[in-house]
Amino acid sequence: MRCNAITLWILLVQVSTGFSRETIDTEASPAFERDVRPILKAMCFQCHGEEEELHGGLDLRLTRLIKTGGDSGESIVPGKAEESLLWKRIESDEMPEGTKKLSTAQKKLIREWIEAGCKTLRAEPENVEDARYTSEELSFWAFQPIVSPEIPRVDGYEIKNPIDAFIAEQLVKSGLPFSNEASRAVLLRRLSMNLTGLPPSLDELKKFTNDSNADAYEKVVERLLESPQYGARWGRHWLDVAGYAETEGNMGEDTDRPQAWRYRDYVIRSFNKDTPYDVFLQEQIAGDELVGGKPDPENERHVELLTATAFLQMAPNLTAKTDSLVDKNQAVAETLKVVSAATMGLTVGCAQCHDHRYDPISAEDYYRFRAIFDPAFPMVPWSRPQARLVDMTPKADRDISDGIESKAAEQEADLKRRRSEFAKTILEKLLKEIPEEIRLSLVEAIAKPEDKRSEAEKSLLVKNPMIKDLEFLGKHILLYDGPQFRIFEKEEKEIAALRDTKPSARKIMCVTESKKIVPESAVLFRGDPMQRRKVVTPSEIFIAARGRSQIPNPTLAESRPSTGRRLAYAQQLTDGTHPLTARVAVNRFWMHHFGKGLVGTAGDFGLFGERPTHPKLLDFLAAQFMKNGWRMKDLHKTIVMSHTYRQASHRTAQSDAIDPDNLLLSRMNMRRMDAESIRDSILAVTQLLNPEMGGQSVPVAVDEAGKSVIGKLKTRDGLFAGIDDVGEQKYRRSIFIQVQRSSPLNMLDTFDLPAMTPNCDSRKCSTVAPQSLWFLNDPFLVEVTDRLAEKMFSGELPNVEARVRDLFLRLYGQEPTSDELRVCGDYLTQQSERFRNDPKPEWQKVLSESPHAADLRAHATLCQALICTNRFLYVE
Amino acid sequence: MMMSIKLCSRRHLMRMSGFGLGGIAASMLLRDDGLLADDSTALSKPILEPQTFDLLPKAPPSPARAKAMISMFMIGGPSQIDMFDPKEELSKRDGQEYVGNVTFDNAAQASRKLMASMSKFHRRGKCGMEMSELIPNMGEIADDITLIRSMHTDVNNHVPALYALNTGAGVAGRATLGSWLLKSLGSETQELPAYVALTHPNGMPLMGGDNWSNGSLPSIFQGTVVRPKEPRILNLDPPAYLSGMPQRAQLDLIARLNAEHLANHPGESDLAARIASYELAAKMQLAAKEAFDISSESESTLAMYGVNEDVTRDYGTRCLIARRLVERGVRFVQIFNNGQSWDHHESILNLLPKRCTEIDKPAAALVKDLKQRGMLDSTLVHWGGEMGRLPVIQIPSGENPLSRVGRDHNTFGFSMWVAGGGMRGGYVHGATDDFSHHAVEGIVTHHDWLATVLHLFGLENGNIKFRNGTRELSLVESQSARIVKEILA
Repeated sequence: MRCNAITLWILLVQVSTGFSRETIDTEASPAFERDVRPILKAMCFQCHGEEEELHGGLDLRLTRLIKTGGDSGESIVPGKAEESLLWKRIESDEMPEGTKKLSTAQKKLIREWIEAGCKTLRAEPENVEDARYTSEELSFWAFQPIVSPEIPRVDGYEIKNPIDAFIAEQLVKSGLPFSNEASRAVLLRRLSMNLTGLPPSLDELKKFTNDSNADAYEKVVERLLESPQYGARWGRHWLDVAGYAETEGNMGEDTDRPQAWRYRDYVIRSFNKDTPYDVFLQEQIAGDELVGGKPDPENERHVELLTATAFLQMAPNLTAKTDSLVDKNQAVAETLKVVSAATMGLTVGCAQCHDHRYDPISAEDYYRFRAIFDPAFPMVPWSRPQARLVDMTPKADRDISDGIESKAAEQEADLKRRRSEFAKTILEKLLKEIPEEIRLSLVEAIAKPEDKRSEAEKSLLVKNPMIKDLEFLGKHILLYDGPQFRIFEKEEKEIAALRDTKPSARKIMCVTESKKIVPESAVLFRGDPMQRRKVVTPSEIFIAARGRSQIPNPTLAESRPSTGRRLAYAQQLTDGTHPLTARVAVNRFWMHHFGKGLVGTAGDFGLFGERPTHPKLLDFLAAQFMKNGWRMKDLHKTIVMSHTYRQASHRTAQSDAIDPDNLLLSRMNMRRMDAESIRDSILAVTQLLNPEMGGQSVPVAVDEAGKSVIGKLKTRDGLFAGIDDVGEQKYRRSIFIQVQRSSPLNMLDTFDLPAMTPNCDSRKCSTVAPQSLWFLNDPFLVEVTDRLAEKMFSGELPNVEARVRDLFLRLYGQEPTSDELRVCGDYLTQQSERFRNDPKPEWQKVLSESPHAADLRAHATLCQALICTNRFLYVE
Repeated sequence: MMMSIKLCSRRHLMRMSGFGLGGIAASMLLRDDGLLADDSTALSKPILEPQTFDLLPKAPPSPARAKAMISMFMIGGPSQIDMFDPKEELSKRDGQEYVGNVTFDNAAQASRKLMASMSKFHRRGKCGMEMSELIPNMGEIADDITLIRSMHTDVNNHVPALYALNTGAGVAGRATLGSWLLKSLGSETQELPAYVALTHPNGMPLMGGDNWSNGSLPSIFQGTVVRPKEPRILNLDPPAYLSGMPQRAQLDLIARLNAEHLANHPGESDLAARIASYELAAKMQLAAKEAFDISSESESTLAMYGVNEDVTRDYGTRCLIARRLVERGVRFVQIFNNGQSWDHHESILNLLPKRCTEIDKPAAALVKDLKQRGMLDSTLVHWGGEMGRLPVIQIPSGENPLSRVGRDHNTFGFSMWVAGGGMRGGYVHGATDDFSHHAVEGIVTHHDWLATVLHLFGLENGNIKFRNGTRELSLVESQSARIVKEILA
């Protein structure tokens, strides 16, 4: 949890004191931009500038406009406050209207400004819209166009990978050298963990160790990037950004999203096939608009495009259970937070209720931005999440389903008929036992509905309890004829099994626009959906788009099949001129490779965020990323081929003295694995990992002890009745485990799985005792290490040394030293001895039957202990 | 894109020569079994030995009054006007326009209409401290607490204000008070986490884990959050056959391998912290169950904390756990509400009394209980939020706004109380103006507050520092910080 407090402090000071790079008139006399404008902006701009209609025709946003004045003529006479209308109105408290008036100090300042000749710090812009934000805000680094900087030449270094040049440039300035390249074993483990989230297998290790070619490393990089596990790893990073969850997030009963997994699989697929990042964004923001008409279930591309838009449905959404306008509004607001943080690294959510506190984003700006999404999320008629599923089952599947259904229905009807016939034979048999004199009365009695029976008939039936009506008999064949009941039961199961063979319906969680409405977008006063104010047209956030935003605003008639707003926005994001999209993307990649982004706050590139440590490198990578067609795998390769990435991770006294947080990257950062990697790596090294990719998620349920575990909840009469084991499914990679917002899998939660509220920019990493307790005592680790021990004994490893060697290679990717071999050997001897001497009778029985049991158990505990070590848990 | 780098110095050149394009494999074989580590540390002789950190108890440099601290943190900003700070003038002018300057968080809903306290105040205890009817139980401990009515941070939003009060400045990334106490004093117990965060079952507090972050201090000083419901800590039982010696043997092996690994990676504080966490985990297996189990408490104790009543059960249980932890040597416990649930911008008339009922009885019980056990003298108890609220109303949006009025943020003057650990009892410190708007007498800033806490722990301001590279960090960085002597016993 190391954060760069000083950097932040410095930038805060910069923000609060203004930037000093420009020549600023430092005279004591008040200046418009610095002193007067903030007062007018707070008190007057709303009527005199910001809203569409200027009150009294007066615009106060620029000095020259104030001079020009409005309907009442010139507002200021420079040098002469008493003659200035502005002063008169303010002084008399005639303005501003309402209860809020200017303070004496504010009035004094404005008076002084007029008296001193209405000075400005710099020439005012031609277009008043350009004055909406101060030049300090407009010149903020993150909003400047991306220009690829020249690759620096650094004395003493001959550098081929440009990344190293940019890093070297700053290292040299601080007098720090690069670290040496890490050992091969370390590099292989680092690459495997970073690119696939799994440690290298023994085969991979052997192959790399024996490959003495110059391009051995590069070949590994290429192999890993082509592995399907790459998508499972990097897809997971994106799912953090998207706020992926398989429940809606209501407290108490957290509603399931049974189809969310399709989006997860889409993300994994996109990474694996290296969908260019620009296309990847476009699909998720506007997949339905890219379909451009009615989606065809036969068209796999259409299916893919619709699936992608579940991105816009990932945020918490309480309207599955409620019909509250506030909840509907909140679902959209949370979606905008996800979209803006994911694509632009901006926290636009702050502007939902009022102008953004730190960034130049006004509330109006926010609602223009929201207008891009309003047609997909109209408040009226609102679509609940469960109503947004689109059935895209292909016709062939539907035909098969229909065929199966008609067959099943036929069998069912036949069964029903035979059951009722059988009921008749039961009745006949029963009646035979009845004396003839009452037989007819009984038959009549049971033929009537219960409430129509006479008292005599009722009492007759009570006296002959065996006799029941046909409906009852049909339902309770078991009571009368057990064997026949079993036959019918078997047939019923067969019919159910037949129905189970239907191909499952392909229901897509997605976003589409309503055919009947293009909602009018408006500023919501204090974010309140009840209080609509000024109507706005769609536009991207001004500061990011700089007025070049062209979002279509078609009428209802023109807008079919959709408004095209989201598509236009997605295209603007990815047209190569957007200042944020590529920077934010490459920074995120960098963060996942090095543990910290070039911009430390990956989800906030605004004024409250951190400044880039290597601004030129960031821009270089961003420009190159776009130039190379937004290819993510290329970017990975550029990064991991650099020496910067391949450095050893050891701290030195010198670097600790100069750069303790390693902001300059004179070494690699040593990092703890994230939650998913820990679990997946344990499964990999114990050879239990189930390699199945995709499909419905493995269920998570809360057990009796209150712990969230893998398994299927069993209930009886609505009460907890245990948890069903899910077999080999429980050994699948963590990305395929159900993500419940309210009760995430305990193992992952213990290791800092983020709470998706609504998403996660960068993960925290804690080091606390409950994690160690998990390693020592959790049944999962005990079970998987037991199973590994069994395998080791059933395999071809002849002796202790071979087994320890095998473990070290699997877990650490390195041979044990002779000292380690000895220590582990001694451990095994002593531990086996202890287990052999465990006097528990049932254990002694096991021992008498299998003499290896104690050794096996000792090996299991060794394997567990080795997994507990930092050497396993941290990646160098 | 194979790179090759020529580093400038001769020493580097020599080292790099093994990395020529064909030489990788050969050099790798040499470096395969951890030799690399020795190499690279030898590269530049350590100027300083890497520091090591532990949680063993350390004597404070000056005499200490407090040994442990329990902080009941009320995120959102409880209204001092309705709970702690009665104002005759405000009552008289209820509904009138306020003439002074007001800083609003939410200008859109701002108003200048004064709103008197919603609740009557009474003199409580022998000292006659005035407290409102919303918190009758706190009134019972009036003689044991110092009520500070003049808190002032001037940090007008929740996140920065939380940072200010808990880490000394309104910016992210700094270490919290609890981390600093651990760093300076270690822990009296090696069997429980020394710094525990107790969160609300409905969710994490605003800012989540940043509330117990070690910032740039070594990882071993971070707080541990325990589960907000039973079982508070999972995995306390090893499988039966591992209990005792077999697990001890595992732990010894883990410790040995980890020590070797750390020796290869000197200075990685996270590795050291995890080594310590295994030792702690081993001991917690025995200690934690007992520490978190309140079933052994007497009926009267459970009743005092309100554990048997629905409305106070959760908070009462957590306060009681806090006492049990401190009793067992835990240095710092902080109890949190969820989100910012004291942030009553609207419907304050309904919501504030509810919040008060949830915490009033348990909070008072904590002080009474510590006192009856003789622990109050050495345990500093804190109750308060990161801000207070304005004397004027906030008019919310939506229908019937006047039935749902609230109060906006006030960071210029607000109240909190402290007890034990060397604080005076039955004392009211400082005052706000006639409207409970600005602190005007005996102003206590977040710097002053933290400096005073450090003083009570025997750590005068300035003595608590940490060197991180070229930077020297400290909890209190303001030159103007002052130990508030008036509130000391």
